[in-house]
Amino acid sequence: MIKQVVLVAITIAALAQTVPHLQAQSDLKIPRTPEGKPDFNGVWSSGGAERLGDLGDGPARFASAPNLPKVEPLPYQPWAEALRQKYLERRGIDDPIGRCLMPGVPRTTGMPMPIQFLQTPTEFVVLYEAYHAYRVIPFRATHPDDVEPSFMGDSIARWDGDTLVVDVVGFNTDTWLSGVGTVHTDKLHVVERYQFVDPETVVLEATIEDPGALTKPWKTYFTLRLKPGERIREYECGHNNEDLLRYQEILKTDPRYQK
Amino acid sequence: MKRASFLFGCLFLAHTSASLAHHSFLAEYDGEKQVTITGIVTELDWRNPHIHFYLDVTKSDGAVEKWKFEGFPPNMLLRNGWKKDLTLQPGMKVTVFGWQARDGSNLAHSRHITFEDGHRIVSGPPAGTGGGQPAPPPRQP
Repeated sequence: MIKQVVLVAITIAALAQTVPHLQAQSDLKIPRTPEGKPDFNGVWSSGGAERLGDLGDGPARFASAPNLPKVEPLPYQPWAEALRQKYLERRGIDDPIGRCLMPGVPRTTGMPMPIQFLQTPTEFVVLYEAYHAYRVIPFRATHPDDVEPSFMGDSIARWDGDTLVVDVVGFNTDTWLSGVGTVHTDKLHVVERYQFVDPETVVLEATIEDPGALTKPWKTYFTLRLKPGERIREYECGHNNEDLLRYQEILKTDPRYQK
Repeated sequence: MKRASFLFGCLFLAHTSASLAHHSFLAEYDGEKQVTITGIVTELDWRNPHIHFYLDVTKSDGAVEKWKFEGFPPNMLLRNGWKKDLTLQPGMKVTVFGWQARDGSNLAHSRHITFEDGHRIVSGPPAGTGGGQPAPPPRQP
């Protein structure tokens, strides 16, 4: 009980912190809706396509927002760290997205394909090119009583000044948080804060709380750059997933996986 | 020194792009088995989640060896300047750089393709992508 109280206290303290460089700037000229809210409508990139496609022939094609806080290692409880190590030793062959499953939150934002925000006064919709994922996020709502555990969870939105805050619960355990083996439990709770840092750049700060797997909340950050002229295309991962077929052969023949 | 630089490069790339790929590089490919293969394109399989393309490679004894390469998904290639049916066509002579499959077969994970006129295009992600490192830190400009 004491441990739970401490975890809740730490969470509240973490959520209450404001990243210094993300403090509201009254003189920041950002796009706004007719209602005066920040206008996130558009297609955005988190930089994966630009970074992975960069052969070093010229200047970097994508830069993160400046002065983002350092991302610390995930503060895992011993059992979760042991499980992560096992997945690392297995060289990531168990990664759910290798089976074309949706990456979950917040990992999906880091996929190397663009996302699109569709914003109305009552809903915030996110379309992810990767894995056909989408989230329809209502404002002024509470999480339903009958939330079923899912890959992308159940999201609700509210405004905190010019910051869009999305609260996400109701996850299954078939996603990883970030890189290989970054497991979580069904107690996962994610709070996303989307904030403009210039008219074409948004920083997403994701605070991850999971009293089942973590010793304290953990934060990660994504830089999103507006991509005028870009559009969401189709990405049907299951069309010709030869990697999965090769995995099956590797699992049968490589001694690494016979332990 | 060259080997040290390569390993550093792999570690850096693995760290910065670990969560960005569809599949694990390290499960299938060996980041220390670099290959540079020159041959004639015979086929391009333009499908998700990764394209594949094939080369006929003529060896010194005249025998023809078939090689298969994996690359980015089509959408990633389009965003990196590719045009379907134009960029890589059967009959073209190309040189592909990549990393060979761990099983030693003529399968490799391609990184870039160089054409006869010398120009080079990216064809796949760096070694180590999806290989199992913690969350990538934000890259500073």
